[in-house]
This record gives sequence, structure tokens and C-alpha cells, in this order.
Amino acid sequence: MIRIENLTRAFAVGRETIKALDGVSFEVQKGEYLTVTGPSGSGKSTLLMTLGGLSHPTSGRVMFDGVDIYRQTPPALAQFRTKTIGFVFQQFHLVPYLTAWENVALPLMLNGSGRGKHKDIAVGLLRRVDLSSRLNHKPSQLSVGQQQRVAMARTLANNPSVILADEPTGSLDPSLTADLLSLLADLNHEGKTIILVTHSNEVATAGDRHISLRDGRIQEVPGSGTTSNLERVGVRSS
Amino acid sequence: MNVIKVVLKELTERKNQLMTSLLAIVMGIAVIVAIRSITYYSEKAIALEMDALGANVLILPKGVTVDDYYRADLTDETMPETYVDDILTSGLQGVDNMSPKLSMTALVSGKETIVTGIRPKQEFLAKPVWETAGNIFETPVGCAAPAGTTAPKDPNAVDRRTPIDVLPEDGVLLGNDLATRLGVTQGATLAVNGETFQVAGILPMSGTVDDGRVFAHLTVVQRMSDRPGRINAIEMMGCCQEISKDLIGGLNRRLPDAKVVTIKQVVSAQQRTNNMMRNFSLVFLVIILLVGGASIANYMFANVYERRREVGILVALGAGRGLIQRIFLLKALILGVVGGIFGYLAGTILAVVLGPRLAGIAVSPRVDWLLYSVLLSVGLSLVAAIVPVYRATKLDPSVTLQEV
Ligand SMILES: Nc1ncnc2c1ncn2[C@@H]1O[C@H](COP(=O)(O)OP(=O)(O)OP(=O)(O)O)[C@@H](O)[C@H]1O
Ligand SMILES: [Mg+2]
Repeated sequence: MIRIENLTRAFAVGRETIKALDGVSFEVQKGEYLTVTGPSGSGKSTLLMTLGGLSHPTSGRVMFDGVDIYRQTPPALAQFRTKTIGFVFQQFHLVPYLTAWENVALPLMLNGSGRGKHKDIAVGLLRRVDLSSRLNHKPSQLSVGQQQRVAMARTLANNPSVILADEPTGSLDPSLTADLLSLLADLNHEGKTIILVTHSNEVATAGDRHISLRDGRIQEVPGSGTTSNLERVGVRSS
Repeated sequence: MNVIKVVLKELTERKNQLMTSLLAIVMGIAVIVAIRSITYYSEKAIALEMDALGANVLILPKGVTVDDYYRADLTDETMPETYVDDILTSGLQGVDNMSPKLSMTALVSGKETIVTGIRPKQEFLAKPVWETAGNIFETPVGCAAPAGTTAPKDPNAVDRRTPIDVLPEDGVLLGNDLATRLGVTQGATLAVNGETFQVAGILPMSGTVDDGRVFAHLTVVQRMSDRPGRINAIEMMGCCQEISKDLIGGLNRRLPDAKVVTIKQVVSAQQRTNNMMRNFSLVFLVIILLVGGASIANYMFANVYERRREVGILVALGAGRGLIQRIFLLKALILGVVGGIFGYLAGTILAVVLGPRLAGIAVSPRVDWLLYSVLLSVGLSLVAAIVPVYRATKLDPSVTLQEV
């Protein structure tokens, strides 16, 4: 279970201080599928980075299964990112000089797991996203949809229990968007917790629950955090 | 997959960038290795020179400087061969093993080679004026020793200045290196500027410039270079006690148009040159360390900046600060090793090619310096990488990953 308590993140820009997050609190249950919307600059990405252990909050806590992740040692925090968190980005952030399978194998290398079997594992993951014919292509030799799938395979390499996706469909056409959303739904059914940030109200209906940010604050939290189709409908109509 | 493989892939992704950043360090190491090699062999040559030199007095044409010792017998300036007679008839005491020389460059088997003309001992003995001058070819045993003691003399010692007994006018003697290079043995024939000579013998290895030369009869060289009766150096043995008793002054008075120097002066002049080279190379070293280091640091700064997004990705995927450090230090290490190896190779080639031209010294590669080159280069790269690597660990992934 993830619990966020009064999270604040301030950036000093010149003499001014910008509060990207301003006292955000909510809970996400294990296996839940949460979508986050909000206007540009409302703090969505900052929230995701802070949740994933990439950006220290100015105040407040991020609790994973009762542990304040930012009170761990740096190596333990890195370990947490490897084992628990899987990021998905709008820009994919593939490593340009590595091939598809090497990109997918990166987390394995960092994890130190599956030594000597990296390629086999990577090939298996790429097969899952239907890319087994593009193993040795560099990102620049892949289409946008293929790049997104490589990025997804990489996210899954360490079998994270929580997937944090920041506008993953932002660069995709409607058909690719549908593919990605169906993959995320599959992963959610396998028990992974998913937090998806999006601009699109339509995409926002993909989850069990939806929150909206404005100026670093939560605007509305429809539903109480339990999963039901009724809530989904409710979010859609709001 | 491992970190080394990832780093190598990254480095070879932009070969041009890599090459230009390596260029500074390769050239730097090359210059240091080249200067050190030439100085090293030049010093060694002096040491050998002092050891092997029977002659300790050198008579040169007036305009030739002592610094030019190695090229002294190659300059265009000459003096009359009659100086030899002048010295012998002067009655000066302590003169021994006199050897007049005239050198020229000639095409030997199609390649430019120094040919030095000498007078074989037989002719000295045959000339009555020299015969009466006494035992000019006997090395005075115990010359410097106090009366009553005899200095030990190793009969097996190879003295390169041991006078050559016989050398017919159509014969030549070859330095050891040259003979090996040409693949010529005793009895073979050799073309010098189109004339055919018989190889009368191969000289033993001396470790000096003589190893690469052809020795011909003085008269022949005088004729071939169109300088009859001229020589450009007289090497001779002055007996130690007599040198201190104004032998040099006597010679100078006798030969006002020549320059008489002792080998001690020559050697110290050469050592001055060497010291200058050494100081030079120290200055070079410092400049090169700065330039090479700046080049590596510049590359590393640019690389860290260029790869900031990949750093963010690695951190997001679970890399710690240590791994980021290792990746960039590994990069610097590879640059250092490659720079050191290629710098050593380039410097050695430079020294081998330029050594004989600049300093008249044969330079052979010093394999053990490869290690020093690599150590120097690696040390430089790692030091230059410290600040950029620190900067890499300070990158904020939440910022770099947000950049479009
Ligand atoms: N590194 C930073 N330094 C300064 N200000 C920042 C930084 N990162 C974010 N901000 C500010 O924090 C606020 C929230 O940014 P954030 O990127 O979280 O917004 P967002 O909701 O993801 O926007 P978008 O929908 O455009 O991606 C913005 O006002 C932004 O300018
Ligand atoms: Mg954003």
C-alpha cells in the first residue's frame, strides 16, 4: 500500500519559490489503477517522480508498506527503485546507442540478476510486446509505437510491483494508445499497481480511480479508493 | 550485458568526437616519449663515446662549434691534411693515435649514407715523416699512472679507435648496423656513388654513430667529394699528463686556423644540450599535462552533459551514485589507456625517425616506457575526469528526464 502524507515540493526559481506540490495526501491500494489529470504545470510529473523515489520532497512523506522511502540510505532507495518501481515516460527515454534487447536488459544489469541470461530474458519480454523481430534495432531504427513497446518491455524487466506512467500515450496515435492501455490493463490484472498521468480525459477513464491536480493540490478524489465499475462510470461522467 | 560493454558502445557511437578528444592526449604523450627517447639515447651515446673513445683530443676547422661534435666531420668546412704532418713534426709530447678524417654523404646501395675516409695504419708507417715521429700507434700504457705502476690493459677490449691496419683504396669497411641492414658480408661488393668497392670487413658493434657508416680510404673520399688534400677532423690521443701540461695550448699555437678541443669539452657541450632537452621536456610535460588534461576534461564535461538523460534513466532504473561514477570513470580510464598506447607508439615512431636526423643518434623503441606512458595518460585522464564525474553524480534525474 502507498500512502502519501502532506507532500510538498518547492522549487526555488531565482528569488521566487514555486510550489509544484502543495500539501498532497492520498492512498493507493495494492493492485489499484489510479489515473491523474490536471492542467500543464499542476504538478503531475513532480508527484510521479516523488512517488518513485527520484525527487526528495520538501516536506511530507511517501510511505510504501509502512516505510518512509526517503528516510532510507541512498543505496536502499536505489534498490527500492530497481525492485518496486517501473517508470514509463512519454519520451520513452531509450538509450540511443543500445539495441532494443540491450535497452530491455539494462535493468537486469543494474539489478545484478539473471547474469548470463540477460539476452534470453530480454527476448522473452520483447516477445510479450510483439517485438521479437526487432531485437538488434537501435531506437532510431524503430517506429514510435515500437519504441514505446521497447520502453514497456524495459519497465517490466525487473518485474516491478508499481508502474508509474507519465503521459505514456502522449506521443501515440489512437490505435497505439488503445494497445498500450490494454497492456497496462493486463498488467493491472496481474496484480500490478498502476498510477497513470495523462492529459486526456478519455485515457483517464482507464483506471479504477481518478484524481485531478491543480496548482499542486488535489481537486477532487472521486470514490473512496475501492475498486468498482460503478466508480469508473462515475469518473467518466464527471 | 555489463557496464564495460555499455561504456564501449557509448564511446564508439561517436567516433569522430572520440578521436578528436584523444588527439590531444596522444600527441602530448607522443611528444614526451619522443623527446625522452632521443635524450636517453643521446646520453647513452655520450657514455659510450667516452668509454670507447681512444681519442680525447679533437682538432676541428675553426668555424665548427663544439656543439656540432656529432656532425663535426659532416660539415662542409675543411682544413688541410698537412696539419697531421705539422703536429708530428712539431715535437709536441704526448701525441698518439692520430686519425685524420673526411666525411661525405653518398648513395650506398641507393640510400644516403655517411662515408668517412680514414688513413689505415700501414700508410702512416710507410711515411718516413711519421715513422720518425715514433710510436704513434702505441697506446702508452699507464700514461696517467704515477711512475713505477702499470695500469692494467685488457687485451680483449674492443677499442673502436684501434687503428685499422690495412685498407686498400678499393676497399670499404662497414659499420655493424649498416652491414646488417644491407645484408652484406665480408668480400661482397658495394656501390658507393656508382663506384664499386669490395667490403674488406665489418666493424664490431660500437653503439655509436660509427655503426651506421661506411669507412673508405681517405684518399678515395677526398677524390669522390672533390676535396683533395682536405680533412674535416683529426681525432687523436693526447696523453693525460701532457694534456694538463699545455698540450692543447701547444697545438693551438701550432695550428692557428684550427680549433683544438678536448673530449671533455665536447662531452660537456653535448651534456648541456641534453640538459636543455631535459628541461625542455619538463616544460613540455607541464604544458602537455595541462593541454591534454583540459582536452579530456572538456570531453568529459560535454559527455556528461550530452548523456544527462541516460544518467537520469539509469538512476530511474535503480542505478546508485556509485554506478554513475564508475561509468564515467571507466570512460576516462579507457581514454587514458588508449591515449597512452597510441601516444607511446606515435612518440616512438617519431623518435626512431627523427633521432638520427635531429641528433645523429639511432633510437630503438623502449618497450618498458609503454607502461609509463599508459600510467601517465591514465592518471591524467582520471584527474581530469574528477569534476565532470562529480557533476554527473549531481544530476537530478527528475529534471533531466523531464527535458524534451
Ligand atoms: N526542476 C524544476 N525547477 C523549477 N521548477 C520546476 C521544476 N520542475 C517543475 N517545476 C515547476 O513545478 C510545476 C509543476 O511541474 P510539473 O512538471 O510537475 O507539471 P506537470 O503537471 O507535469 O505539467 P505538464 O502537464 O506540462 O507535464 C511547474 O510550475 C514547473 O514550472
Ligand atoms: Mg509533466
